[in-house]
Amino acid sequence: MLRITSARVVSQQHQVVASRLLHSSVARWNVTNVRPTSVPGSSSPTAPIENPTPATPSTPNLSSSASSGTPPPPPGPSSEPKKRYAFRKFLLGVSVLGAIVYGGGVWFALQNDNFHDFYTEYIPFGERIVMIIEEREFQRRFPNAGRKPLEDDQPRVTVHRGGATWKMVGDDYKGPSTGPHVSAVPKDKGEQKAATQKDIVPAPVTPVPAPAVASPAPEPTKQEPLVIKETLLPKLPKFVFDGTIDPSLENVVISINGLFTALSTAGAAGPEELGALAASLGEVSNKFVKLKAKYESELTENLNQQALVFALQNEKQEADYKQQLAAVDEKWREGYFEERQRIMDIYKKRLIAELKKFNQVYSARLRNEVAAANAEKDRLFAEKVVETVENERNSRLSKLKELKAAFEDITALSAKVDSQLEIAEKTAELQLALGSLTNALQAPYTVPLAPIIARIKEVGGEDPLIVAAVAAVPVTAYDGVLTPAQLAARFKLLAPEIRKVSLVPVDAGVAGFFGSWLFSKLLWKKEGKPKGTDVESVLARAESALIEGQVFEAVREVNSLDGWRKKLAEDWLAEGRKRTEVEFLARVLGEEGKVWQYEY
Amino acid sequence: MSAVKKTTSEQLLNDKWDVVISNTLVKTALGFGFGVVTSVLFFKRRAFPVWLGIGFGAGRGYAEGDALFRGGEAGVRIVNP
Repeated sequence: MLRITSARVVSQQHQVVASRLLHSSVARWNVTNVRPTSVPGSSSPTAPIENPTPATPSTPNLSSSASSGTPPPPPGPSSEPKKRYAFRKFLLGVSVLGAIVYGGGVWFALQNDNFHDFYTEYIPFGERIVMIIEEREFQRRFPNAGRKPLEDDQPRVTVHRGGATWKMVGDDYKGPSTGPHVSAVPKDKGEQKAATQKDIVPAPVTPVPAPAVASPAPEPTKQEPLVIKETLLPKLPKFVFDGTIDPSLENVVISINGLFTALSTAGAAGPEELGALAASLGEVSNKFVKLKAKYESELTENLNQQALVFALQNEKQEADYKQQLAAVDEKWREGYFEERQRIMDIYKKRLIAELKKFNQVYSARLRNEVAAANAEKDRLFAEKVVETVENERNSRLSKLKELKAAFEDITALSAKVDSQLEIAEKTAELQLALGSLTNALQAPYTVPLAPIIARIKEVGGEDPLIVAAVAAVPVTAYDGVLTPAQLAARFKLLAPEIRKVSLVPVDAGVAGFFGSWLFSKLLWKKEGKPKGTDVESVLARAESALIEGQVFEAVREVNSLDGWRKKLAEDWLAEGRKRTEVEFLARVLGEEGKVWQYEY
Repeated sequence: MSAVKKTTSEQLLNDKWDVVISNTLVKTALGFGFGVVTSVLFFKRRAFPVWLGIGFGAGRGYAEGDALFRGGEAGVRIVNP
C-alpha cells in the first residue's frame, strides 16, 4: 500500500497558519489570559507570546463598543407613530394586493378552464363574480339571444346598404314621404327650360324654308313673304348646265335661278318668281304624264304581240313532244317482247337439265337397293351355313370351351397360391426384420439401426403403412438409439445441472445465475412420484420413470420444463425422443406385421 | 474424431461460467494494472486509482458476463420485442 508522505508536511503548514492567526487575534483583542498553544513535534519558529500590555496605542474603535457590551436602547415614545402608520400601511398593502390577486384570479379563471374549476370551488364568491362577468360577455355578444323570433306576417323595416340616418322632425311630421326623391328634377321645369332657351335665341330660325316652298305650289297666294335680315342673306349659286337640257326643264331651271337671284339680292322672294317656278314645274309634270301614258299603251301592244308569238311556238313544241313520246313507247314495247322471249328460253333449258339429273339419281338409287338386297341374301345364306355347321359340331366345340375355362381357373388358382406364398414369405421376412429391430431396441448397448431399417423397407415393399413408418424414422436414429439405462445414466448427469438453474428468473444475468446456483443447494431433494410442477418434482418423476424403464414418461416430464432448464436438457430430450419414436414405429410395424399374417 | 469437442446441452452453462469468470478475472487484472500505472504517473502513488481500476475491470467483467447470460453478444443488449 502506498503511504502518502506529504501529509506530514501539510499538517505542519496547517499548524503554522493556525498559530499565526492566534497571534494576530491576541494582538487585536488584547486578551491577557490567552496561553500560547504548544504544538507537539513542531520545529517551526513559533515565537513565545509576550504578555500584552494593558494599554496599546492601536486599539480600534470596536474596543469601546466591545467594552460596553450592551446594545443601544430602542427609542421610546418615537416608535408609536411609526408603528401605527406601519400597521395602516400594512393593511392598505394587504388589501390592494388582495384585490389585485383576486381580480387577477378572476381574469385567469375566465381564460383557463382548470383554473376556473379550482377558483370557483375554493375561493369565496369567486363563482358569483365569474358568472356575472360571463353573463355580461354573453349579453354583449348575443344581444338577441333568448328573445322570440319575429313572426313572418309582422311588418318589417329593411334598411338598404347605404345605411340609415336620422333627423329631427317636429310635431307635424306625417311620416316618410312617398313622392319622388328630394333631389329629383320635375318634368315641367325641363320644358320651361327649353322654352327659355328659345326665347333667348330667336334670330337663327331656319334660313331655307324648303318644305314651305314645295307645299304651297297650288296655293301661291297664302305664301308669306320671307323677311331675312341682310346680314344673313344666303349666297345661293345659280344652276348652270353645260350640255343640252330638256326645254321644259330649262324653264324650271330659269325660274329657280330667278328665285335664287331674288333671294340673293332682295332677300325676299315675291309671288311672281314662285308663281313662275310653280308654272314651269306644272308644265313639266303634264309632259311627264303624257309621256307615261304613251309608253304604257305601246307597252301593252307589244305584250299582246309577244303573247301571240309565244302561243304559236307553244303549240308547235307540243306536237313535237307527242311525236317523240310515241316513238319511245314503240321502242320499249319491242324491247319488252324480246326480253320475255329470252327468259322463256332460259327456263326451258334449265327444266330439261333438271329432269335429266333427277332421272340419273333415281336410277342410281334403285341400283343400290338391288345390290343391298343381293348382299343381304348372301349373308343370310352364310349364316345358315354356319348354323348348320355349328349344330353339327356342337358337342365337340362346347367341350373345348369347357376345357379352356377350366384351364383358366387353374392358372388363376395357381397364381393366387403363388402370391399367397409370396406374402407368407414376405411376412416371415418382415417378422424377422421386426424381431431384429425389437432386439436391437432391447439390447443393453446401442445397435446401429440402418441395416435393419433398410431390410424392413426392402421386405415391406409397397405397403403404404410400412413405407410411411420407415420414412418417419429420424435420420439420426440410423446410428442407433440410447438404451433406457444409458438415458438414465445421462439423466443423472443432467439433473444436477438442471437443479443449478432451477431458480433462475426470466432474462437473468450473472447475479440471477449465481443466486440460483447458491439457493438451489437449499432445496429439498424429492423422490418417487411427487405431484407438483416445480423442478424437483419433475426431476423426481422423470427419474422414477427411467428406473421403471418408461422412457416415454420420462421424456414427457422433462419436456414440461421451460427456459434454461429445458435448454440444458435439450440434448437429452433429443435422445429420449429418438428412442421413443423408434419404439413407437417399431410397435406400429409389429402391428402391421400381424395384419399381414391375417391377410389371407 | 473432430478436433473440436462437441458440447452437450448440459455443459452449456458451465462453458458460459468459464468464459464469464475468466473474462472477469482478466479485466479486473487489467484494471488493476491500469490503476497502478495511473496512480504512479498522475496521482502521486495514492491508493484510490488502483481501487478505481479494479472496480472498472470488475464492473466491465460483470456487465459482459451479464450480457452473455442474457443471450446477447457481450456489449449488445437484447431488448424484448
